[in-house]
Amino acid sequence: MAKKKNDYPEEIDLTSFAWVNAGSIPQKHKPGCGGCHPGGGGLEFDRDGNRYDKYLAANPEIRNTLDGDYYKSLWDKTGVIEADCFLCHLPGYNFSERNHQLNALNFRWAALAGSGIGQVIGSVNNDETPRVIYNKRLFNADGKLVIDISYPPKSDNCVNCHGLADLIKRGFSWNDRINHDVHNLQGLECTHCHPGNPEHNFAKGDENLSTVRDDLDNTMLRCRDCHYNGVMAAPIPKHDKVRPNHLEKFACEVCHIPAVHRAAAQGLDVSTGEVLNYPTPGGKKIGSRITWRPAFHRGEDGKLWPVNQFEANLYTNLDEDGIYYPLFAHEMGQAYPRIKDRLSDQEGHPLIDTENDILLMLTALKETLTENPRFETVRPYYHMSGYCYHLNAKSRVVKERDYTWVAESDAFNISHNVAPTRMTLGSNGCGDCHNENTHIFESWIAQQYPDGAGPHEISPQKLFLGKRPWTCYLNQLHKHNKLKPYVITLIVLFVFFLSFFNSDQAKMLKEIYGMPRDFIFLRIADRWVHFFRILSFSVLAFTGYIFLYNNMILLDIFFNSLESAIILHWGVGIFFMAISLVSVLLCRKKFPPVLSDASSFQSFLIFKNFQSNCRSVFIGTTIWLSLIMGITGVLLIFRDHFDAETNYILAIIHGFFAIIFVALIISHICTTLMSNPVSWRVWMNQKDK
Amino acid sequence: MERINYSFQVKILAILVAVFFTWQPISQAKIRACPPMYLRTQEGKIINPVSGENADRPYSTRQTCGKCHDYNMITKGYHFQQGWDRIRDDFDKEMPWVLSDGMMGKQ
Repeated sequence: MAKKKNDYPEEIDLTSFAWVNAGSIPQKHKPGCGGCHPGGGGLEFDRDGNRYDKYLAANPEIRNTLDGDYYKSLWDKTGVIEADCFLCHLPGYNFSERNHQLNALNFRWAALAGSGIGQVIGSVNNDETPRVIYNKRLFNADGKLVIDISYPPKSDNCVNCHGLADLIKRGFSWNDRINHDVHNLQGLECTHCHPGNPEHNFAKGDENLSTVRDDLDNTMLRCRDCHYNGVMAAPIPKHDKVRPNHLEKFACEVCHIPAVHRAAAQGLDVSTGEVLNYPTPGGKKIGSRITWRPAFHRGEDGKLWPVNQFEANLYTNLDEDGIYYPLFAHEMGQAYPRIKDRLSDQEGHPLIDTENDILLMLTALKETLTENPRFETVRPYYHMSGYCYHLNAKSRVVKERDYTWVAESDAFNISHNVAPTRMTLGSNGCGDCHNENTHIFESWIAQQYPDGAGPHEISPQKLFLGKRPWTCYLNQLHKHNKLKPYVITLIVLFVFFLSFFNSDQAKMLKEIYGMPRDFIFLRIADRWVHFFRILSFSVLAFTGYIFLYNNMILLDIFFNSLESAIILHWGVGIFFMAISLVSVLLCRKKFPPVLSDASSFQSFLIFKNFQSNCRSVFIGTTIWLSLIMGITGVLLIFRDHFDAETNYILAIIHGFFAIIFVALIISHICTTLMSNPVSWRVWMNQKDK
Repeated sequence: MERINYSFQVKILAILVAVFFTWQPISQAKIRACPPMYLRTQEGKIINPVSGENADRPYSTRQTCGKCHDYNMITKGYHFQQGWDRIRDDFDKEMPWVLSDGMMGKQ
């Protein structure tokens, strides 16, 4: 859109008049900008608040000035486009006819033809004054119009405009038997989630790239608004098979829109001077039937959202003031014909993608922009896929990482075409995602780093864990469901046998009988402490097992919800730490070597001399393990205050030492109970028989 | 031979037929959002295609719908303005080609 005040014609790309039909392709029934703008606002009044047709009729000379609203305009003949109420409120509105009239410059008549209340014959474009023939069967004998207005508007009216725009940008559609949506199948209309107010502002979400009325962002009903509260009888999901951190990290749409079934626009090419969208790979054209899966983008809320990653190329000129000015479509259109026949690939997307093609286009732009008064200096740039290209002093192409405003990633939200529950990701178990080569781990899109560098291709683990590869590997080990059961079993067996077979049973038996009595016979306090340690440890091991293996069956049986299990785990963990501290204080005098002798510590740490020190080592080990588990556990309680990388490392440490701890306790139980059946009675009853 | 009296059955059948034919319109009946109305030209004059009064003029929604509805208030909504109500030449000095935060006013 041109500015209101301009100094020379080259500054004017589109006036508000030319804007009405800009981008229109009548042969393809593609409307111009004014087709979807329902009228009123900038289609009725100029930037000074004057009605275009009356102001131009009173000041006809203004069309010869460089006024961005009137330059070369015909408002006085075409009339203005008043807000067309029927566009939204009349079922069966003829959107194509409206656009036909706009293309004919019959602005004032477009609403009439679109509504079907009458026919329009003639065209301002052909220097005619259109005639009107009203459809008399719609009128009573007294001349009043009788017409069914829908309130609120039907979805069919909304998709006249939004169906087209959404399909191109996002690929999603509505009222579509191929690209269905569960809400649509239940009879919901657009206005159920996007209600309006008397001012005709509609509740909206927060589209990644759109900046229209950001003050109204997130005013619409979101998934949780209905499905957590049962609004409109929406089913309230339990999500009892989904780990809670998934609900924290993923938007609902990630799992519930696993695929889209219409080709979206994968990219946009402006090299020819026209905006050319090209479809999702595999699709013959935008909107054709094809199944594709969304990419994912980290939103401002830290959650992942499904998106259509959209790649747009752009040409700019770096001017003296250091600003990269986007070139007008007609400026690219002047350069392209010069090199069109010399391009290496006439069919590819985008058209300009090889170094030779870029050289040709930039050279052509440099020539055609030379006389352009818009720029003090002509330095054309080509921006594509996170890089920008320009010519150096020797007229050779220089490729650089794109740090300009152009490099912002274009990713359009996908928020419709919600699949039935049985088709969502996770409906067949964790393997829907946690498996080799699953889409969700292969499709993480490029993210822009904070330093302003362009998009980078990064692996899924790196997206969460930063740039340290070792953390990625640990995380993969921790999460990989296929390996986890075997790895954990191996660790448990290894620790168990190390502990079990390194303790000399015969010697231990002898030692128990030969021990000083003050060690063998626990005091009442020792017994209670030991009992509570065992009890709390059992609870921790049990809940930890549920978390580690995501065992929702046990969770359902023993707990009301996963949250309650987590809180129990936290509480019992803190209790275990406290009771362990009491245990240390009670045993301090009994095991001085463990707590004070450096050599014993060393032997415990490196498992040297394990056999001879088995009891001391066991107690020392449990103290150390308790400390590690306690510290990492407490930190994990406050995980919201740490970044993902720290949390994963803490979780890995916590989980790994938990497994060792469990193995050690199992070994401990075996050695004290099974191998020495008398020991329990000795310890608890102060009797050896 | 005793004649069978069908009058009761006929009455019931008649009632059922009547209910059948009247039920559908009743169940589908609805209140129109807008009552019958005159179309109006942009000067506010009545268009009457039956009598031929101003029948060659296109209707104006401002005048027609605006008779009952607050057209000026409605058209302040963002669907109608799309940033036009905020457009100005110096909207963004770092990106001088951006004239508003809506869809009208961008290159």
